[in-house]
Amino acid sequence: MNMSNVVKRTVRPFRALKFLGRKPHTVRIPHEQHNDIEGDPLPTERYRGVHVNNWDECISCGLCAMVCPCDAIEMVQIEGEAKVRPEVSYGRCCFCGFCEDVCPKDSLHLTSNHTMLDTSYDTFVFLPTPMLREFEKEYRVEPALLCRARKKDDGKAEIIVGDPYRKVE
Amino acid sequence: MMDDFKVTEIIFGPQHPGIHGNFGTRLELRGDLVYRARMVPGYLHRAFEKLMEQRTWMQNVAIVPRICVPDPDVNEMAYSMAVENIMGLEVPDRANYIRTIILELSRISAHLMGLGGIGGAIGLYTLPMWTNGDRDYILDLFEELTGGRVYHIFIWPGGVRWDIPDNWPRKVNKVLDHIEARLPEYYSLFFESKVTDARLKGLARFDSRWAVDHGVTGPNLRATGLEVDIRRMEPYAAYEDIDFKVITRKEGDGLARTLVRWYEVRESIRIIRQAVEDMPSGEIRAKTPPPLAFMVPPGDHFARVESSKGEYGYYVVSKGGKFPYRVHVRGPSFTHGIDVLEQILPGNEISDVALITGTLDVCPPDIDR
Amino acid sequence: MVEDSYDLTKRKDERSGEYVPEDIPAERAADEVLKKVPGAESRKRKDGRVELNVPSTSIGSVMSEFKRMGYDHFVALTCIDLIKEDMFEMVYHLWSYGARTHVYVKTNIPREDPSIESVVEVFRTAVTYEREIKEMFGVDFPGNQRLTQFILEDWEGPPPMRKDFDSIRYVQDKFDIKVRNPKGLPPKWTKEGGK
Repeated sequence: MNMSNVVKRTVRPFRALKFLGRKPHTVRIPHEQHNDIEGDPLPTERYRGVHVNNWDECISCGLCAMVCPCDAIEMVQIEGEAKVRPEVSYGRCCFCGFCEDVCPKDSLHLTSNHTMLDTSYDTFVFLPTPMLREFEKEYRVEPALLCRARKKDDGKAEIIVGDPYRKVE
Repeated sequence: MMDDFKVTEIIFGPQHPGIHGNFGTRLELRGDLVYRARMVPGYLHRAFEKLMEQRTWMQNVAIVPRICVPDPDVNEMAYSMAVENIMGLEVPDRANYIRTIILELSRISAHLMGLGGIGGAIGLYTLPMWTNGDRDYILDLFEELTGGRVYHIFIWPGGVRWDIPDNWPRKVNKVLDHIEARLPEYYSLFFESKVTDARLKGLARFDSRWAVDHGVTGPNLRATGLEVDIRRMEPYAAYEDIDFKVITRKEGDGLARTLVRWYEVRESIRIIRQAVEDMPSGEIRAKTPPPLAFMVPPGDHFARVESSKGEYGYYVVSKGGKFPYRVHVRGPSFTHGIDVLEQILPGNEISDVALITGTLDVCPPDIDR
Repeated sequence: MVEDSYDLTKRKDERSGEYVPEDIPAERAADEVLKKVPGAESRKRKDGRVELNVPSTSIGSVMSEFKRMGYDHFVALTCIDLIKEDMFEMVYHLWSYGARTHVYVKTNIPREDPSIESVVEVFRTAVTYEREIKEMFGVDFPGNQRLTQFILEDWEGPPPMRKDFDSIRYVQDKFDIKVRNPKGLPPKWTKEGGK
């Protein structure tokens, strides 16, 4: 091979140095917002994240527990509630979304929230709480603590941060 | 000559940054050269084949993508093809085109990761940084369509799960434009460098007769000169209506295998553009039984798919009923990663062990399952 | 156990040569095999492929006959545990690049002391498949010298892929795992029946 070819092939790869002057590709989540190639924010509505369950619609049929491939959902009885409710264990859940697809009343839903932080792992076996739209949007980018919901006497749900429920054994 | 050197035995083990995946190698060295190699698989054994006998037909769709990590859609596709063939289901055209787009996007992302792995094994760490950064745009596309970045759980027996959003084809074209503009930069960084020539030319060369006798499939076989591709030999999804070239090279060494992957990324971009443009309208799924009472009549079938690593096959046996009787997963790395490596590694230097594994694109999860 | 020896000069000669695919359709190849091997039967399946049922003692000659006919890509070897009929079914999958067809070769072996002749001399690719089946099902392959431990490390129990190994019971005893939804548990397969 001639001299100019040798020189070209030694020097060509150094053209990659032009990227040193450009903006880095990294997105520092959660301080920056993660966008896709057209600038739309991510994650979208279809993202399979943390569960919420609307207790006004849920009829306690148990289909979500039957269809879960990972044996993550159990129907539990809570003190003060007449119906059993699904309890999800995030040690097993694979976020496939079959429980949301099979629910006959569309009450179990997978939100686009994907951050969940706590110091003890007992909070990751939890009852998905009733759906509240403002609540979901507020905790979208910041780390979210797990909250419970309780039905008050007038029928509305009340959000209690960190209040444990008691299961009937 | 090799008998004068000192004999060492090392375990080039599963916890090493140079190995692709969790895969151990026991090497017996004479000096710097490998004399004998024994592969130690089993670190990723999750007992999928036994597990799939204990879940219903639809529940298995959520489990199956986890067998191969870089290229998970081929698992869902082969499983669904086998079940549909036993049941006699006919998949609608629109679902076939959507499946084609998903499979080709997955192939591009797996090839980008494979090229990055080869670059990293040489020592050129710029290439994995670039390819993994560009692969991120493809994962964003998957998230907008299916709801998950890596494990999609989207292709299931009968068709696909949901319809595509309205602005998705435009985003696909934008991402493809971006990757197509970056491909010449990868070429000039990696293939025009003399270091790559010195390391990859002539590395672990084998001919097509040897390759077929030892079960080599996929881009590794196409790099020896044979023009074989399952998308042409046994067409599935929408590949019969799409015009594409089968990439081959003649040399059969490491450089040829890497070049085949680079050219296949360009071919896949052409396939996706055609599929997006010609997408028919219609149904997304065929009529299937409800998921909790999904019964499949007795029968068996072997379905194969061209994955980015080779020939991927599922053999599904059904005896009627709600649960499969036996599912056998045939991964391409089962033949590449154990017997082929044990035969071609002796005689090479130890610094080339990770590089040869990378050019063959061995993916340990589908050895252990 | 005796292992393979490495002679680098010998391997170089085996590697030379270009592959030329042969185009013989599956029905004709099956007929040639049926002429040479007594006791074999073939049928055409619903999906268009050809399936052969051969006695287990003649598997070596069936394989070399197919290889001679151009079916020389050994795709996979599957073992199915038919516990109710008290036998193992071995399915050999072959593919021809020239004719572009897939052939199934099925054979049965008894479940007590299972063993079948190895096809490693004909198809080198089968060496890893037979090693895995020896570990997971307990089938012996005389003639294969590489039947060492493959995936399971420090395993003393019965071969785990057999139907009478209850993996759910094993997991519950060993790891103290609670089943959250017992109605979704699969039924157990036993010799007497059950599905």
